Amino acid sequence: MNVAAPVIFPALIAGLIWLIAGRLWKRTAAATFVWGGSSAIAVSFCAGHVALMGWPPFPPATAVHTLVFAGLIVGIVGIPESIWRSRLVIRWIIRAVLGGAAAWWQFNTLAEHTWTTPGTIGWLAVVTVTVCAMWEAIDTFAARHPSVTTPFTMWLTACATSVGLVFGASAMLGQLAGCLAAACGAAVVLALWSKTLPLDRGAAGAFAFITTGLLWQGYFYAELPLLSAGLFIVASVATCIIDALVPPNTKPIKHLTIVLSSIILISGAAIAVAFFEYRETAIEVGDYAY
Amino acid sequence: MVILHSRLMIVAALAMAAVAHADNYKVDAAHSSAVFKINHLGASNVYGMMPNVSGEIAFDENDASKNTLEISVDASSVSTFNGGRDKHLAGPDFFNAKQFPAITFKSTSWKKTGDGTYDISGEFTMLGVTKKLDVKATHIGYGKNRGGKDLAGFEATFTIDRTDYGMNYGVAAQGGIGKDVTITIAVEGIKQ
Repeated sequence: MNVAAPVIFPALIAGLIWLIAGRLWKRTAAATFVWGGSSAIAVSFCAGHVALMGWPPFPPATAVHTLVFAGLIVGIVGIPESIWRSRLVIRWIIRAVLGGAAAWWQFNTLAEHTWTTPGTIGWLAVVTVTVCAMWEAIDTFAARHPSVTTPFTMWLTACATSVGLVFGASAMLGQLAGCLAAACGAAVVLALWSKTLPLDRGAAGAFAFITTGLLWQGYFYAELPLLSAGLFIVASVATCIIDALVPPNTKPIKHLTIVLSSIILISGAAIAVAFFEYRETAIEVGDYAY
Repeated sequence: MVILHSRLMIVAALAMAAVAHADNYKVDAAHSSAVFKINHLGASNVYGMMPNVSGEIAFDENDASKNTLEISVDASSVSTFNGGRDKHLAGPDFFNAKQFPAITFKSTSWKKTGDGTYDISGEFTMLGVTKKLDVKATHIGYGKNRGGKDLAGFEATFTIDRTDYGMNYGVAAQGGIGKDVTITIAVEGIKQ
């Protein structure tokens, strides 16, 4: 398999799904378009995983395999969830159940062998809350910015996550985040080409599940510092909050600059933390090139 | 009465001899290790080791059917004499040691093939995947340690395809690291 395949496949597949969804959307109601965003992220990540490491076994053998299936499940659940826009409480319950199940699926071996019972409850709660928080933040942000802005912020987040995970001693997790970045990159290109397509709708769930999954796996199974993982997640949530705090009469370009600056600064800080930890380790135990 | 008692004792002794168990050995981690070899970019072979080996062996050189072997290797102890690479190897890309701390082999049958040589069939578990594995093992010999305890040593070399166990990262098809890993496990057991 070509080295570029894990990037090219997700970008092409995501782009194709978005294009097909876009063509159908023009003929039907806007709400039906959400299947495009939802499945574009989930299926393209799956394609990237297959290009990188082959088709994952079911049931998944390792935590990283679970992300493919969790992404696909959330991709499917995200469709009716986004169309019907149920009450916030119901939405959070659905997300919490899915987030908790995904957290258990990924980290149950730690619960069995490493964590104490309070530790298990605590960590699973933390992972679940971060999944829900990122999902809600991106969803809310997408509702406010139905343009290129949302896919662009998702692309920034995925790129930064990819770099951070490579410094966190897992090239594989970094490359998987790169697959996600490629899919979001395709959305950015399409959004620039056709400004009317609501590319972001429905994508938040699968994106949040996969991104937080990669980050927490980077912390628990690789060497990504906790502060770095936390900052990457905070970047998405803080961007949504900062966006809401910008006064309504602010010029659009200034508004966009503030929002993008926040995500770049926080993600940059997360990368810096991962990099300095990596450098420190390299000085202590020796550097090496793959 | 005395004669009957003596005869019963003799019969009991013979019966016990007939069902005598193999000697039990506990693996001495200080004198045991697992060494592996893997191809790097088609150019060379890189060697590494996992020094933390534990387990138990039941061994009777006269009756291989009584022999059993259970070995566990601590995946986080992987060492290639480069700390940066060791962290990468212990992480999710390769041994995923935090999720799967142990690599294990449990024998299901032993067959004596020659003087001190055996074919051992068993189940090899790595990354949570268990597969049947046949290995050729050699009984190196016996000895005594400083405390006067009896020792027995064994060695086996075998090759696995790491992708069979889901360790797919960086395989040669992607211009990287070989699929086949040749492993030598050398264990010294202390008689219990």
